[in-house]
Parts: sequence; structure tokens; C-alpha cells
Amino acid sequence: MILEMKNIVKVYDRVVANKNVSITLEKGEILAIVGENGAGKSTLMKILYGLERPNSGEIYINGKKQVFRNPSDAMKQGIGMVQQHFMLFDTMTVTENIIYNNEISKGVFLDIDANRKKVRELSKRYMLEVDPDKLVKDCPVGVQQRIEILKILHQNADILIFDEPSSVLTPIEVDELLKTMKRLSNMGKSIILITHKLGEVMEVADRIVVMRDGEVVAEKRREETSIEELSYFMIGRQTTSPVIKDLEPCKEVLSVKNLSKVDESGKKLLGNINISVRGGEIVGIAGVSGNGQSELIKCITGLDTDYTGKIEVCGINVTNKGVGFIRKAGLAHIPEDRYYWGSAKEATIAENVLMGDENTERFSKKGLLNFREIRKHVYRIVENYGVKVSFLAQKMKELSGGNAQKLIVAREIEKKTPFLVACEPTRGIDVGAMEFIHEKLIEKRNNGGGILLISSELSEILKLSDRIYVIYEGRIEHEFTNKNLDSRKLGFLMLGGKTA
Amino acid sequence: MEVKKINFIYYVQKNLIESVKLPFISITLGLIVGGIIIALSGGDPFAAIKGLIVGGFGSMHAITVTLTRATPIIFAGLSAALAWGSGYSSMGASGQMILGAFTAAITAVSISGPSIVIIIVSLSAGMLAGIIYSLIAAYISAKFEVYLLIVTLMMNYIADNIASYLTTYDFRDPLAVDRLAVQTQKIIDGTLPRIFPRYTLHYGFIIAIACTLLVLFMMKRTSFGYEAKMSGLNPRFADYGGIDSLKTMYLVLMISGALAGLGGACESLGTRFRYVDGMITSGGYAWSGIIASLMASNHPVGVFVSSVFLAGLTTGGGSIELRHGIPSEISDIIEGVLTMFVTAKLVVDFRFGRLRAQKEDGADVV
Amino acid sequence: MLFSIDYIATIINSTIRMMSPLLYASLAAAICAKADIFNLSMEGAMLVSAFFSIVVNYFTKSVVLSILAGVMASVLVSACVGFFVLKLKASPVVVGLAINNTVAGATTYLLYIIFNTRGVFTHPSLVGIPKIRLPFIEKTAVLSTIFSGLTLLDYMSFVIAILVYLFFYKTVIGYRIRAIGINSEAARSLGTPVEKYQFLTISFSGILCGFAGCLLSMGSVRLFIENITAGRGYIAMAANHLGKSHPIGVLFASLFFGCCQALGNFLQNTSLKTQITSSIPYVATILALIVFTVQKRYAKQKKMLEVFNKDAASS
Repeated sequence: MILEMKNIVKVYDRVVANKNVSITLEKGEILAIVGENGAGKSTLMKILYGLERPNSGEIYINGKKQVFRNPSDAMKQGIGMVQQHFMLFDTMTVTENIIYNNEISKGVFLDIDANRKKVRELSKRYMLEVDPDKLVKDCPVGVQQRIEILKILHQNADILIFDEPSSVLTPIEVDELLKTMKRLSNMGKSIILITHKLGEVMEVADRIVVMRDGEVVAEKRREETSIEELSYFMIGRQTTSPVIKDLEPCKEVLSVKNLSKVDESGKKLLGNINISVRGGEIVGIAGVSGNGQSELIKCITGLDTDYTGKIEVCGINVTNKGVGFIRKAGLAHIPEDRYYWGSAKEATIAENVLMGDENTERFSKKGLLNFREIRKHVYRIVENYGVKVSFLAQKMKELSGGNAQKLIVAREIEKKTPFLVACEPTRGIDVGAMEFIHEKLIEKRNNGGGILLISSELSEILKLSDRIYVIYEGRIEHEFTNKNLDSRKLGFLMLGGKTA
Repeated sequence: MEVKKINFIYYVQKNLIESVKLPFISITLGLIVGGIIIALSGGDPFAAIKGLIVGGFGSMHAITVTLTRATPIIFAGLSAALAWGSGYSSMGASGQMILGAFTAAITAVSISGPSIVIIIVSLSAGMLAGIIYSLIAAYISAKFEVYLLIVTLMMNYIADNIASYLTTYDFRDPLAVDRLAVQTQKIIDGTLPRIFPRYTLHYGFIIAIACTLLVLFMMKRTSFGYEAKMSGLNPRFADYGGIDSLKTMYLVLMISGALAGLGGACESLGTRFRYVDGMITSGGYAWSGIIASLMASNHPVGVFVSSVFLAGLTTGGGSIELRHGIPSEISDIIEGVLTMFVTAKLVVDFRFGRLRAQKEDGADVV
Repeated sequence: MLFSIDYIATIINSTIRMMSPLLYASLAAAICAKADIFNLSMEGAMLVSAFFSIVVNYFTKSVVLSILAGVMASVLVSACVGFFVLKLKASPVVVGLAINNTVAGATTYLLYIIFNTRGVFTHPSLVGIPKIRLPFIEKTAVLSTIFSGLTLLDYMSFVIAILVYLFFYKTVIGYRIRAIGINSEAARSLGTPVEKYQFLTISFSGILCGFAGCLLSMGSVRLFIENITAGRGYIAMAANHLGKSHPIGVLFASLFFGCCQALGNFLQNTSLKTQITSSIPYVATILALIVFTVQKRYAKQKKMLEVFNKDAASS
């Protein structure tokens, strides 16, 4: 047994993230830890990697008790972690990234040639191909992940933690990654895989630990279990999918024609995009994240006005217009990131709900705010959407992620605009809140609203959309209706595969 | 509903304590450091600090002198509170005050009419000067993506030179007894009257109170105030919500410039009765105003209170220089030290008796 | 006559003298920027160094001790900023401005306590930094004008610029600090004590500001004036911006600002009034920042046009 974590307890302010969790890991084994968001698996790994300290519990490496105060302590014991968000220096070269903290030097000087050679060797030994002199920012996501893995191997890690490694990868890259993991385990490395994607788990894992609400609820060998059983353990109940009734789509609410965008360095971000959304339909944009979705949203919602092409919202030409104008034309927007774009943490709940409506007749007269109306409106939203708040002057940062997201969704839906852009509407929130938000989106569609849905969760797109566009490297070349959908083909196209 | 009310009262109390706690700790630390410096330079710190407080607030005379000095600081503080609270780190109050003071002073001596008319016209002229100068900085910053802080700092030096040039060569007081004095002609009609005949405190202070209330109303009750506040808390959120950030920036900096300009105008019409070269910079009003707004987390009423406190500190500093022979700059040092602590995320850990930073995810105060 | 070679040589000489303190301060700004620290406190660090070097100079008459004192005071001030910003997580803008004002107050305070004077302090017994005489240069009149009156610290500023370059781009520690600047989270996750590196960087920037301060008070002149730095710390920030935080870029940016200051000083001797000539560096700073952006935009536009043309050609 190379690793044992015993009775780990971790309590944040009020939330118990880990209740007496114990896991073990054998040499050369791939252990998968699965669970919903917030099940406590990330916390457990942060403890193992020295980023957090447990309230109680012990960690044994090769039978010896260890205390990790910071990542260096963990690294010294041969633990390495591939983080979900890559930790790379993107304006440096691949070599410079891999050797960090373990540099070969000549005196005080960095010996670039020797380091480069070392990286080449490493890359060859583990069959992870990289170009040592390329800048990291010019490498595709899959290669960046390889760099992360090489970086950890360079530090002589024996226990490799992969935190949601496939969330940013294309299916082919995922296959590649799973092969790499198997290869590494055959070479004697032990691997912990954190994920909620059960398909991948069933492919590579030797053993599977299921976590829910901070506890281990099941531990199975792969041969003894199935996806169905695991998902039952994970969620603890059967999910219901909402009923989508057939609707005749009506008036066009969004029309994008020949939209192109070039960035500062002359790289083409969006190329000739043509899409349209009508009232009464949800249109999904499927694609691996980082293929131009964010740029497309910014252009449509007016956050970026520097593009060529033509955009109409509800029949009004909004090309190169700012957010205020487009919102008046009939746009509402659930943003990609709830704290970066969607709210002000230090502002009160009421102030957060008011955003975008501060100049409407309903809430202000001659520039003076009508607090009675505002309060009434906010109360209604909070009650109808079941947002758990103590009072309206509470600050946004005091809400949990799920509640904050609900509030933002509520704000945008309750604007009752004909057109809604919903980006990652359920990212990182619990299942209950997710289903609730899905219901609300469908309700809006059934009332005749048009929704453009962008999500990196393919399952979400498949569940909600009437029609699906596939985006790849800033281009949209394929369109499906949900009825004639072939999900395998969809996956193929998401990777830029060409149909014969 | 009942629960919500109780919660709310608790919350307000908590917030109030939170917002007063930090300035209080900072002031204490500032005084301690000041005391140490006094002790090191051979003075008696306790007597000096007592002298500082008595000298600033101990008598009717001291209080009126303090409030007179507080007047321009309040204007500069409101100006800074509005700009910094909306996310624009403008240091331009100094330059705007200089031009405001200068413009008001030369307007007052070059027009004639009933004093009330002269006062209104001169104050407006000073305000206008502040607005124009602030808008130039805003334009450069917005149009050419230059950091506002640097532009305004550079423009402060330039403003000082402009006013000094014009005072020296074009508007110099021909009647000055001291031929070396660089100052404009004395204002006869059109000075701001005193509130109490025997004390220097003038009606500029009343205008400052009015402006405090006005800014409070604007920040809390109007949709413009809401937009400005949101731009300050999270500019991306403001953009996302459709707030025209350019318009907000120009408006905020315009009002901020108007307040600073008005502050300068009140100073030349109420205290000096003319523009004297360097009268704004040597007073350090603009910087004190920024400290006041930092201490008050940009709340107008808080700005008012902190400005009076800081003015008292300086008045007291003047008085201990006379009585104890300690240079009055000690109050600058205390001010500076307390400012450094004021944005630190301090938690006083009494058990260990030492300070540590509060653990919180990166707040972008810049 | 006005534009004789001698005249130009004198201007170049003055430019170098004006430039070297700026170069030190800009390098200080640059290394802090490289390590992802927003440092506004060069003004205060320079001022404190200028003051204490004069104080120690007066009492010991030793140039070495004076420089040492100035540098130490400056490092102390910078470390203090580092402590507030990195340890207490205070706003770097506020701390920077506060330290600059505190130092301004403190030097005036101490000037009175120690020398019982206000405004300016000078004394015939003060020793300046010795001028370096290069024998091979003195043979040509023009060269000897250009290099006349320069001190070791002036020459050293250029050497340090190159050393800073080598440090950041060739050494292990420099490479790590650059990495911290690019993504401090990543560095932290690899177990780097990020704050420690940053603290050392800002303290080191204090040494550079210390040299700058010494040059101001003991270089061409031997005196201390209240606020002798006159906004050079802020101009250094602009120079850092223009030089894109690259030591060599910063070198050229400070050359430009040094030239502006020299020009300002020179024009004082003509009919132009002091207020106008002393505004030159500040106006130049704003203009330079404007031109920088305009030129960047132009380059971007050109690039975009190229892409579109290529597209048009290929289709």
C-alpha cells in the first residue's frame, strides 16, 4: 500500500466537506474517486496535495505518517497533481514550464540546452510528445495537459492526481489521456483520478470510490460494478428529465450573418459564423470549450464590438453596438462566470438583482430609484426561485454558489425578454439547483422565448436543445435538430472531423 | 418577516462595527508610530499626543480653525470618494483645486456687482475649471488607455506650474507689500462671509455640508449613483449589465472635478481672499482628502467625519510645534501611517497579540 | 553658435546625469512589475535615500557610508511596502501613495529635528560622490564634455541595467521570478514561496532606488531639498510602462525622459520661464504614453488588415 488517508475530516465555515473519509492506494493502481460537484472529492485531494490542512485524520505514505503543510511537502513525498485549471506559465516555453523548480543550472545560470535535452528524454521515455521550444500559449489544450503531466513526472512523482482531467479535452484527446494513464500505471506509477464522468472511469479504473455529501458511500472494483450502479450511488436518487413539448417556432429573435473576428496577434478567432434563433426554441452550441464560444457570446451580447459581420436581435440591427443598446433590443444574458461577469460580490442582493433595470420606468423616475418597487421585485424573485437568503441587504458573496447562480438566472429570466443567451447556466452547482434551472429555461421556451444555450456539458445541450450547432475552431459548419441527432457523429464533428 | 427584521438590525450593527473598526485600529496604530517617532526625537509622546488632540479640538478657537481647514479636505475627500468608489483612481484633486482656487480668485477681482453675485459667479468659475481639468485627464485616460493615476499625478505638477506662471506674470498683485510674494490681487467684494464674526470659519463650510448631503443622496438614491457604485465594485459586471462605462466615467470624473474645483474656490474666497502661489499644495488638502475617503470606505458622511479628524490632527500639529517644539510634520507622518493600515485586511488576533492579514480570496482594491 | 557641437555635447552630458537616477528608479519599477508587484513607492524610497545619505554625509564626511545609509533607508522603506502589500494584503496603490507622503513628511520633520532648518539643507563640508576621470577620453574635447562630471554611480546604472537583464533572462532565480510574474498561482502550486520571492524583489528594488536617491543629493549637487525627487518616481513608472518592463526597453525610455529633463534645465537659461521649462518632463510623460498607445493601435490595425488581405487573396 503506497498511500493511505485515514479518517480525514475537513470543516469549512459551516460546511462539512469531508466526514471521516478513508481511502487507500496500491502501487501501480488507478483509483477513481467519483461524485457530484460538492461531494468533497476536490477537498480530499487538496488535503493530500498540501493545499489544505485537515481538521483531523492522518496520511500515510508507504506506511509512514506524513503531515503536509504545503505542496512542496507533498511533492517531496512523490505526490503530484494535474490541476483542473492548468497551472502553466503561458508566455514561456514548454521546457521552461516543465523544469520549473528542478532546473539544471551552471552556477547561477540556467543551462537551457541541458534542460531541453532532459525534457526530450522525459518526453520520449513516457511517450508524451511535446516540442520543447514552443511557447505554451501556442500549444493546443491536449498538449498543455501533456506538459502538466511531464512537469509532475519531472519531479519524480509516484502518485499522480488527475483532477477532472477530461473536462477541457476533445474525445480523441480524452482517449489519448486514458491510454497515457494506463501506460503510466503499467510503468509503476499510482494514479488517482477525480471525475464525474463514469464512462472514463469504467475504461481505466481498477477500483472506484464513490463520494456523496463528504462521505464515501461505496467502494467497488471495476469488474463488480456498472455505470448504472455508480450513478445511483453518486446521485442517490433517480433524475427526472423535463418534458419538452413540441412548439412551432415563431419570430426570429437572433440572426448572425458572416460574423468574423481577428485578435491582436492576427489570429482568427471567429470565421464567418451564421446562426439564427427563433422564439420558442432552445438552440444549443456544442463544442469543446475554447473553440470560440466565449468570443461568440461577447460579440452577440455587445461586450465586444470589434468584429465584422451583421447581428440582429429581435429584428433590430445591433451590429457593433454596446450592451445597453442590445439589452434594450430584447436581450437577456446568463453569463459564463457568475462572479467575473455576473455579479458584484461586495454589493447587496437587491443591487445585484437591479442590474440592467436601473433606468427602466418601473424602477426609477427621472433618475431617482424607486426602492419600494425594487424591494417588491427582489422579494418576488427570491421567493419564486427559492433563493436562500436571510435578508435583502445581504451581500452577494455570502450566498452559496448554487444560490448565487439561481439569483442570476432569475434576474435574467425575469426580465422577460424575447431572447436569452444562457452560457454554462449550471456550471459547478448541485443537482437540485441544476434541475431547477433547466425547468426554468424550458418554461421560458414554452412561453415563446428564444434561448441560445452554450455549455461545455454535452449532456446538458442534448437534454435541452431543439436544435444544435457545432462549433470548432471558431467556425460553425454543422447543424442538427434534436430529432435526427447522432451523438457519435456530433462528438466527431466537435473535434473538427469532416463528414464524408 | 420578524426574523428578517432582527437579522437586518443585527446586520446593520455588524456592518457599522465593521466599518468603524478598521479606521479606529488604523488611527491607533498611526498615533502609536507617531508617538514612537516623537519619543525617538527626544520629545514626550504622551504630552505631544495630548497636545495634538487639545490643539485640534480643545477650544472654540481650535475647533473653528480645524473646521476651516477641514472645509477643503471635505471637498477633496468627496471628490476622491466619488472617483475611487466608482473604480477610477484619480489623484487629480490637487491640480483641480489649484486651478479652481486660481480661477475663482481672478474672477472675483475682475467682475463687479453685488457680493452675492460675485461669490456665485466666482465659485462657478472655480468649479468649471475643476471640471475642465478633470475631463482632460479623463479623456486622455479613456482615449489612449493611459493609467489615470499617472496622468492625474503628472497633471497636478502641470497645474501647479500653470497657476504659478499666470500668478507671476499676468495676475500678480501690484499692491503687494512684499515684492517677492507671488499672489493675485486681494478680493474685496465677494469673499465668503464668516459664520461667527470672531472666528475664521466661513460659509464654505456650510457649502461643504450641503455637498456632503448632495453626494450622499446622489450615491444612494439615484440610478447614476447605483451605476457608479457597480462600476467600482465590479467593472465587468457593470459592462455586462449594459452600463455605459465611458459615460459613467466622464460623469463621475466631471462631478469629482467640480467638487475639487469648488473646494479650491472656497479656499481662496473664504480663507486667503486671493490666490497665493502654492497655497493648495503646501496645505496637502488633496492628499488628506484621499485619506479621508479611504478611512470612510468612500461613504460621504464618513468622509466628512474623517476630514474633520484629519484637519484636527494638522491643527494640533501646528499647536504642538509652538508649544513643544515638535515639527508639525508629525501629523503628516501619523496620517501616512494610518493610511497604510487602512486598506490592510487586518485581523487583530488578541490571543497572540499580533496582526495578521485576513484570509480572503483576492480582493482587487486597485 | 547655438547648435555647436560643444553645446550638443553639454546636452548629452546633462541627459546622462538626469537619466541615471531615472534609470535606477525605472529598473526598480521594472523588476517589481516582472514579479507581479504593483510598486508605486519609488518616489518615497528615493527621497528617503537622498535624505539619509546627506545626513550621514554631514556627520561622517564619508561617501561610502553615505551611500550605504541611503541604500539601507531605501531598502527599509521598500521592505515596509512589501510587508504591507504582501503580508497584510493592503492595496498597493494606497500603500505606495501613503509611503510617499509619509516619507515626504518624515524627511521634512527630521530635517528640522536634525538641522533645525526647513526647505533646503546644504553645507560646504558635504562631500560629493567622486567624479570619475577617464584619461583616454580627456584627449578629445567633445568626449570629455560628454563624460565630464559623471560619477561611478552614473556609469554603474548602465551596467546594472545589463545585469538586471542577465539576471532575469539567464539565471535560475530570475527565471523563477519571471514565472511568478506570469502566473503566481501556478508557481505557488509548485511549492514556490511566492511572497518570499516577491518580498526579496521589492527589497532589491529598494537598493536601486537607494542609488537613485544618492545621485540626486550627492551627484551633480550636494544638498537636500524637500521633495527633491519631484515626481521622478512616477515618471519612472511611465518609463517602465513604455519599456514594457524589459531592462533594455526601460533603458531607452529613461534616456528619453532624461533628455526631456535635461532640455527643461537647459531652456531655463533662455527666455522661457521656469514654470514652462519645469513642466516639460511631465508633459513629455503624458505625451509619450499617448504616442505609445497610438503606435500600438496602429500596429494592431496593420496586422488585422494583413489577415483580411490574406483571406481575400486565398479565397
